[in-house]
Amino acid sequence: MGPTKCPYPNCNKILRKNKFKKQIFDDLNIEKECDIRKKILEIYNKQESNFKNLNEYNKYLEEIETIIFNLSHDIDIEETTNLVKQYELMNKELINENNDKISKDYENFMKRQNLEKSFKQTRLKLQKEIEDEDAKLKKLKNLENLNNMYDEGITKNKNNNNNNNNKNVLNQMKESILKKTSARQKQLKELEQRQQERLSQLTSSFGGQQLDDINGKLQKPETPFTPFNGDRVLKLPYNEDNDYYDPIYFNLVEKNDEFRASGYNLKEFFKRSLSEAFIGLDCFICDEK
Amino acid sequence: MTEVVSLSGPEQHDDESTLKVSSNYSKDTKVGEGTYAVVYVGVQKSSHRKIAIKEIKTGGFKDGLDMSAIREMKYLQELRHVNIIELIDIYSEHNGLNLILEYLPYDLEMLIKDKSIIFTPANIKSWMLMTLRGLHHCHRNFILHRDLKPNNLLLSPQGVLKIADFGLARSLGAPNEELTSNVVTRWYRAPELLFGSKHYTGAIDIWSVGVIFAELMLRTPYLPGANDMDQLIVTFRALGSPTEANWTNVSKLPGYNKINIYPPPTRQELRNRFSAATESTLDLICSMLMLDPLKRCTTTEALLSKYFVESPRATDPKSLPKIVPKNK
Ligand SMILES: Nc1ncnc2c1ncn2[C@@H]1O[C@H](COP(=O)(O)OP(=O)(O)OP(=O)(O)O)[C@@H](O)[C@H]1O
Ligand SMILES: [Zn+2]
Repeated sequence: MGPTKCPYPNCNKILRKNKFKKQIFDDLNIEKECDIRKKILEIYNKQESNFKNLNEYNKYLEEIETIIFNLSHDIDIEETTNLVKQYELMNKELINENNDKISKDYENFMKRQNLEKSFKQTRLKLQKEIEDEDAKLKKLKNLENLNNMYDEGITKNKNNNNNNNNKNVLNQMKESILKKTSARQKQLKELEQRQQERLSQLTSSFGGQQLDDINGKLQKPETPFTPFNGDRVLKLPYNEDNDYYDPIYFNLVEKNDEFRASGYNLKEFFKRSLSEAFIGLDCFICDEK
Repeated sequence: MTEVVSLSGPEQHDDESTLKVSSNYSKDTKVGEGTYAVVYVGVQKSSHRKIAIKEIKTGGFKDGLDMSAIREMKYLQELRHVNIIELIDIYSEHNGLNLILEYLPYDLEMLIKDKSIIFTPANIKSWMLMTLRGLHHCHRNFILHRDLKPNNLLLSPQGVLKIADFGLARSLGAPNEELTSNVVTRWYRAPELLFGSKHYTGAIDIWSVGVIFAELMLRTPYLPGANDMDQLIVTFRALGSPTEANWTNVSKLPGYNKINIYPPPTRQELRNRFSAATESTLDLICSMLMLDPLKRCTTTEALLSKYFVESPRATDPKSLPKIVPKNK
């Protein structure tokens, strides 16, 4: 378990077990340490991306901790102060550059937060409107159903002019609601797109891996998904005769509306017959009551 | 009767072989009882493999119930697939039949009912995937299962789901055949069956899978009708009443009746009901629960749906939640 950095900008406090223990009961020193930490971190502000590897970065963090610890516990004060001064002199340019980047990142961080908040509000508002329209639509459909039932009653007594009028009005209302809803859905989609774009502009200045990237990598499956588990027969062992025509069966199915309502498919049955003939199976059970 | 016994495949099981075959398996404890069979666990002596022995209750084959046993044998022999229970052997004993099946210690119903187990969307996707693959294999062999429900979807110790209980299965009917509409446990019965259709297709199984899908999402039965009449009401209240407009010729079905008219649910209502569902989850549920069987998706279409491709990926069977069998 390596040391972990606090995510807040410029609070590069390193959470490390052994140091933790010493500090917990050292209340008096904490405030002092905070001040020192702040100052030191403005100087020692290299980021992970400034190092060749994690190991060196960790060593650097360790070094910072020692400096802070020494200064806040009055150990080797002179030596340590000199060390810091020298480091500051040697790295003047990089320090300034990094401090700029850090404050920019912090700004971006805040912008991101605000942006996400405002997008969320807009999204909720749109969703609420869609829901309301849905409810209205539902009421209309109920009304329509009632009208239809009414219609059936009316047809028996002739005269349904009046009701045709109603139907038109209902249809118009329905259409206008549907239009509104679909416009909102489009807005919602655009909103999400815009958010993606805006957020992707606010990236870290240090070229570190973005969280989204990391998630994407973790989710990428190792092997491609195969819906049929590699077991899908596309080519049948026999030639399908698409023009196969059995007048008796065909008439039977054509004449009886029950077949359509049951989803019956004569072609599928022909396929079954063909496949059974091919495989050499005969129907063992033909009697079903 | 000898004719039936000879069904068991390449091996001949005459009276002599009965002894021989039954000595290949040990019949240990009873694990369950169904409508037409008692089930025991046993061991295949040659391989030490754990097996289930399904002993058909009544002797002789005059009784209608035995039709189920014959069906189960016939179809299980034809169907070999990872997601369909394996029929290892058949032997006759004291005038009765014994099916040797692979041992599958628990079923999906037990999992659904065990509220200490949490289902992730990836778990549900995995069970749906395995169910549809098994069913796809049935349908491409023109076999209708006709009794899909959580308690007939058994699970292996490795988490692999297997369709079981082919006691009601049969092959796709010819136009001049009339099938009985009194199939499928009520809550999983497709609307064409509720209306007494005698020429139904594999679409009735897809409906059942759709209802099971919904049940996995809700952790409670989706369309629990109290009786046949109530089943119509419960079904149409949830999914809207069929009309000639959304289901051509529906009124020509023998048992059609339209006492209740319910509007179809709006997308938003469905979203609210299945609050954990993504849009493509809802799309798949809806296409499996289309009232008109011709509009319902096929197993192929279901397997190719966006639901299975979009993240999260289906859980690997061995990582799925399991139940440790009680009787040990
Ligand atoms: N392969 C198997 N391995 C382990 N246990 C099994 C197996 N098959 C069935 N069982 C157990 O035996 C019980 C009876 O099974 P069976 O399929 O005969 O009837 P059922 O599905 O419970 O009811 P029905 O026949 O009315 O649908 C099951 O509930 C299950 O607990
Ligand atoms: Zn069963």
